[in-house]
Amino acid sequence: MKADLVERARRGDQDAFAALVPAVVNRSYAIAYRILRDPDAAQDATQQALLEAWRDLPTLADVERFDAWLNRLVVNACYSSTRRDRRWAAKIRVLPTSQYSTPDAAADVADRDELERGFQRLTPEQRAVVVLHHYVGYPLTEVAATLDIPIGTARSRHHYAIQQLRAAVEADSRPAFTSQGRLA
Amino acid sequence: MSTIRPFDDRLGAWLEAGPASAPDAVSDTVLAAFPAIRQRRPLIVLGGRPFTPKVGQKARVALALVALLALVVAGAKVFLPPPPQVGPPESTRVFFSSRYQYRLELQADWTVKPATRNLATLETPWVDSDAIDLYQPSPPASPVSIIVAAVPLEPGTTLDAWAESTTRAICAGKLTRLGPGETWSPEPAEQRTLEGLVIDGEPALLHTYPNCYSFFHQWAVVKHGDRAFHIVWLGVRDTRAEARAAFLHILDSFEFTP
Repeated sequence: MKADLVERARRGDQDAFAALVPAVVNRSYAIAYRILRDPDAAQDATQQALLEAWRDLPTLADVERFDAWLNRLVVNACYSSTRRDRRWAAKIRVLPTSQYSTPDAAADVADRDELERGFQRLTPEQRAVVVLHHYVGYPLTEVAATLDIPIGTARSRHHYAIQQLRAAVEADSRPAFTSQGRLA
Repeated sequence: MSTIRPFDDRLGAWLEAGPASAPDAVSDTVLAAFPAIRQRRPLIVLGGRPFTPKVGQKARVALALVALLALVVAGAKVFLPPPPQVGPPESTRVFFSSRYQYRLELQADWTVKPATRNLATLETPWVDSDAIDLYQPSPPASPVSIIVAAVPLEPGTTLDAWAESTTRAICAGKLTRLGPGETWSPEPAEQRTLEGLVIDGEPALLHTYPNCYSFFHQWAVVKHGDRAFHIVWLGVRDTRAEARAAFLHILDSFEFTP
């Protein structure tokens, strides 16, 4: 069904593309949000990617690769968004830990804060690899194919991203936990 | 007490925690905007599938250089004199007229029906006249004809004077050829253009009639010694731009012969 819509839209059928948009918009937005960590920027990037998808659909060689192709457009729109707004690294939303009463909930929130801070320090290219691998569930070979980068580059970006995230999480958590005696 | 989880699980859970659906405004904006966007068509279609070559930065630079080179070459063709040619290209054919003493070059598939008598001074060189050299493609791919004829001039007749009398003769000729009940309106002046040319070193005038009897006429007149030539393009109206370029090319090949 979706492949049929893609094929018809590729040939210029506007009704088909209008039917295709609701089927892909949520996933596209979810990916954009997770890369950009900003709802407004994610909204803009998703719109840009979907409009580019309509414009460039006739150049799509294999309709079965539509999802991966669209994901690449979303990632590229995110790259453009970060280039337009260099302040993106400062847009950090930190949840106050005092709202959570149970230790597990507090630990979850601490996880989120630490990961949020660590993620903000990644480059957009590293974020894209992390999101496609850990959120979309692509193996790194598919991540490389989607982003049109060599597999070695995908592995390298993933390796250094995870390394930086781990380091950031540990660096952020160590003093706080030590001061509260939670590592004892 | 906190639960120790593998890092990948923590990362996955954190990523899953974000929004799963887009605000309605995203779809609304896309659906409102996309119909106004023209789709890009692929440059090449291979085996029924579109294929658009990937263009990297180096390739873009190379393409830009090629485009620049093409512009330079095109500019040189326009602004520099053409290199001397030894004989005509194989795809063209040179025609000689001993009656009217000229030569011209046409596509190799053109043929000529030569004049069998001389054209009178104020006689109109109609396409069915036996006093003209009539050139046509063979077989006729389109209703295009080239008409060439020459007439003797009274001594002292200027090109402008002869061109003016020719124009009057053309109009008179049309009027006299109308049948009973037929009407004819001369082309409005603004639709006829007149420009100066040089044909084989001689000053010439080119009249253009965009719509003359439903045909597109280009009518060149040129003096050489005591003779004046008609060189006429008779073509269809919707090929005007191509016809002009083709006719100028033919005029460029035209030479007077002893």
